[in-house]
Amino acid sequence: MKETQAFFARSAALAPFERMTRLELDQLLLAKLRRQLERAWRANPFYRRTLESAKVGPEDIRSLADFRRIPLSTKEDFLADQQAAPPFGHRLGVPRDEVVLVNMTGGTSGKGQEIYGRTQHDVAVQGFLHYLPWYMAGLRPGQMALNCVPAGGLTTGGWGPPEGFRIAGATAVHVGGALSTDAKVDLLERLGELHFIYASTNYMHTLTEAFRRRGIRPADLLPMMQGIFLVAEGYPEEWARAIEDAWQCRVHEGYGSTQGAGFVCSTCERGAVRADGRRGLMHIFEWLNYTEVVHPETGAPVGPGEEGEIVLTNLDIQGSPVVRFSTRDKARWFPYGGCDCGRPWHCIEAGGVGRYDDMLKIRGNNVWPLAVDQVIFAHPEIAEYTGRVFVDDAGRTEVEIRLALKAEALDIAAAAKERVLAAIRDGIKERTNVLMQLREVPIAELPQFLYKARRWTDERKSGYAAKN
Amino acid sequence: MGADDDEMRVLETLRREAETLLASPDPLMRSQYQHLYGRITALIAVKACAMPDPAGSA
Repeated sequence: MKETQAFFARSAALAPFERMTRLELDQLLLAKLRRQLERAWRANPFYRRTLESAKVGPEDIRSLADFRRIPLSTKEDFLADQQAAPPFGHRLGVPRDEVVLVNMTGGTSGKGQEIYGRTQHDVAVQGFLHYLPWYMAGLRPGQMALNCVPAGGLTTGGWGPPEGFRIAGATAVHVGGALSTDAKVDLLERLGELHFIYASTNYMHTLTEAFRRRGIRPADLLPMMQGIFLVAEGYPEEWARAIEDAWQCRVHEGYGSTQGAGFVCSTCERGAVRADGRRGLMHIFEWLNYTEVVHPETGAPVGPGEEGEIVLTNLDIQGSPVVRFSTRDKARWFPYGGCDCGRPWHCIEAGGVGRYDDMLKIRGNNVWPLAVDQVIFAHPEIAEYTGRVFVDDAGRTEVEIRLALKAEALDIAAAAKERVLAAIRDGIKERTNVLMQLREVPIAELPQFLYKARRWTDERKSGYAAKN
Repeated sequence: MGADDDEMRVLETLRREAETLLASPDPLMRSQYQHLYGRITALIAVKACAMPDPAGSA
């Protein structure tokens, strides 16, 4: 298998960040945090209020430990602020006419969508926060890059990649959401050239399965491939190894978000799975997003190898910056030095970022069971349901919803029943952007939830493992 | 002074020069100059490994 180019061609611009001591990096982070807080104090009433309520001014932050005196901000805080002062709330931080792009979160939580106003500067930084991890994964100017994630829309995940590929100077092919999987394989056969794939874990599996069904080994058709970059969903190490074997190039992974304005961290040239089979490490771009991993109840920083919540602070974003944003994302933290690449950046473990709430990543969409509950239980005929996310025989991620009707609804006419199911199917698609399969079952087939409902199961990891 | 320091110096010069363009009375060009200025300040932001001039960049 080819080694990643980045190992052989490091960037002079990146080198200072790669070679500085941890002390030097911490000093830079502290200086940038103070600058960001000074900006917020001057121009961001939302965070000015946050700081004042905690009785902390920018001048009080003399160490990284002092920074933890600032309270966390949450999705709920942002939504309330937006409602009070639409559309951007009091946290825009720049003159309204400098906003050139509206980014929003997906809105699938059932709670509402956060709104972020981005400036020209921010869009360029956002592009860099996509290009940087891809550079580290080996992407170079002129290389053919397949973007399997739908481009555009409202989220940073939609806008960031096209910016990233543009400033990378890559030859971008944006097929996400534009072509069926078979049409993508047709296109790749026609192009006969590909160096880089950017895709969700689930879609990378689907694409690889499509090649397998045609009897084509990807590495035979596209022997020039340099790297595969995964986002959105976790995976077993064995699956990543099988993908590397099929494509004969390194699998990489990044973690990012709209709040992070792009990727917050990514694997280095060592990839998502280390030579000894252990999960790789994603190195945090700390000088652009100060990233804490804290115990979700105490707020204390976690120790090496421990799981905690990712808390983000933008250091170079002007419009709608976040300061100590509570992501509810769960990750295993490792201090710098855990990877033998030698970079002084702290890390989180690849392949295992999860959620503290019950959100599921399905085909790149954030799906909260609450949103599905709201659609289903809006229909008084429904007694109970369960949801199952799995990988089908064709390698696609599917969702099966098993529904039971209330006793009094069992006798309604077949046509009326079909109307209810169709309304639920459409309502779920509208709320989550995911088309789910609905199946009516007798109530006795569903579990009884005596305490907290655990309606959802995620069988994807075993599905990936079973196929490879 | 290394090549990377030279690049930062050039970027800072470009930023200062681009500030003049931001005051252009031509509405067709002004937004494009803002785009250019945003690119320059972003490049400074992502390259700066020492604390930048507080008056500059983002």
